[in-house]
Amino acid sequence: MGSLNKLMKKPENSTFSLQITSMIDMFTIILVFLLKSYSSSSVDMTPSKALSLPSSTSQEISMEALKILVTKEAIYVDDKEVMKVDARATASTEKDNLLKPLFDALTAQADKSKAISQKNENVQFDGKVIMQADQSLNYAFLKKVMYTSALAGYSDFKFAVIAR
Amino acid sequence: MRRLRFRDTSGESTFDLNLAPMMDMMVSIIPFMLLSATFLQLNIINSPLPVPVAKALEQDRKNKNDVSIKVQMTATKDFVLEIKDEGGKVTKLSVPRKSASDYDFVGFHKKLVEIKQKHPKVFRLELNPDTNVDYRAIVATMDSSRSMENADPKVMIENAATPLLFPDVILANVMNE
Repeated sequence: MGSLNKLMKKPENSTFSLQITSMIDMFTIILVFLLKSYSSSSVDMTPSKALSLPSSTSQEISMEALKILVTKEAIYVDDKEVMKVDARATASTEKDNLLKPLFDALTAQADKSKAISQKNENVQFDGKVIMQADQSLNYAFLKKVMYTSALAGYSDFKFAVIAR
Repeated sequence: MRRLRFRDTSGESTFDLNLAPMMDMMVSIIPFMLLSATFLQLNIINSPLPVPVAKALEQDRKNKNDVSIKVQMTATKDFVLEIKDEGGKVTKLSVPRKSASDYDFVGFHKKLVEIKQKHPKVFRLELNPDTNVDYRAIVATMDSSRSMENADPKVMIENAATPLLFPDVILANVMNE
């Protein structure tokens, strides 16, 4: 009889309300943390995986400028690869300091910036360049990059470093 | 009678807040924030210079100072310093390497403090690294020459102690063939 009553009993409602209050609490904490660490700076400088930047005690903040990324494999101008780096380019004995593909890319950038500055008085071509270079690269190669940049009109170098 | 009806309609005082829209919002915002968040924080400390130090720095930047300090970083990990004073007299100093694989940055910094005591109004330093010197060593040299440390003896410009050593480090041999 008891078992018959069980069978005759109206089945319970299969839906249920999920208790999400604690999940909302968790999300609120995460959101506050992310809002605090959110950078609203216009300068977009992301350290590349292909290079390890040197650490420094410098406390100067980065600024808006053309970015040259120098890794052991390639050179990038504003995140676009302009040339591969070979043993000849990095050799300290190689006397030719001009890196032609880099020079062409930088000259094109300089021309573009100068054209904008002619149309817009608020924009000035100041020849500033932020160089992100691998810490193990030798000065001979960096000198070539800087020499080429200076010839293309970018002579105000800023070295990107990781704050110590 | 009215009062009774009021009591009836009031019902339960608690209710379940519908948190589903809030959840939707959170689920949209959090991935966006995670993608655009920067976990590497860049700080800046504002520390205005004392007026006499700022004036001397400005004057030095206008090239009104005849004193020049040149530093050569050799491939054998030594520093060679060349100081030309107002009278044109050139003094050469050297800081030998700490070990076969590393420069003596502490000894170099001490030497620079000694030079600063003699020429407090000079802020420019010309760095000439050899071609085999790596970028890490150049940055470390710039760090050693940028500012005074707490343990360093005070260098006075007029009546103010300068916190700066040689902040204007120039790579002088970039355009040399």
